[in-house]
Amino acid sequence: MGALVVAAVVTLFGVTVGWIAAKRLALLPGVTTGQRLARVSVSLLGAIAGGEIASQLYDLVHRLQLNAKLDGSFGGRFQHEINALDVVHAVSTILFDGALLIGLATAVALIARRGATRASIGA
Amino acid sequence: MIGLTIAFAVGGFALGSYLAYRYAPPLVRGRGSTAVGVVICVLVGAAAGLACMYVYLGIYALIHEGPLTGVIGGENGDGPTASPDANIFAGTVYSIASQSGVLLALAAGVHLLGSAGGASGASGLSGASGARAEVD
Repeated sequence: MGALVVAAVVTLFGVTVGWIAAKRLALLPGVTTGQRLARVSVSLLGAIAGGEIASQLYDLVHRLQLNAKLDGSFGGRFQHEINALDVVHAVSTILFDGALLIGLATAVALIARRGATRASIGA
Repeated sequence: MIGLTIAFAVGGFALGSYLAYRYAPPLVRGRGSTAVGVVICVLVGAAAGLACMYVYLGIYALIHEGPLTGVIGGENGDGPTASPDANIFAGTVYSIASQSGVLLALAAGVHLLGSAGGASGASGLSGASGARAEVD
């Protein structure tokens, strides 16, 4: 139960940091409905990226702590293999999913900014 | 093995980020162009880090899965069986293509979006490349 609470707190912290960072870096004007929608989308993508990275980091630490409690069967080789699998999974998830979400948020922000620039030129 | 896996991922990330920072074409100068440049470096670095990590894991698996080949590979003429080496190679190539490829494509898309628009001057991902572009 304690690990669940800590995981939730860490994930919420990551979500908050990602939300604030995306909102401040997007530099999107919230004049029209489309621009507000784009700003919310960028903030959501940043929040999801932050939550994903934070939760995966905590999950890795928690799994390594749990694996340390395994007995030393097969001369510790089983525990070593489990640790390696967890590390590879966490690193690949953080690098791939985190970078993908951050890149998508940036692409959405750039497209929305181009639309806002065109609208201001047309008006 | 765990330390080397992390070292390959981090080293690949640093190498990819530096290469993007040094050699990527310049971006249009404007609001938030620095953030776009950082995101491009992160995307290319993540792609390179994943590729380095999967290459290391593939080599590690090829070396340490050797004893299985004689057991599963049908040394006594049991007929054709799948080679573990081929499976490892195919899995490594698939992982690199599906993950690093997506990230590189996204980095290219972000760079194109960041380069399009107004032409109020070019600012490279690194100052040196931007200056070089202006001299050229």
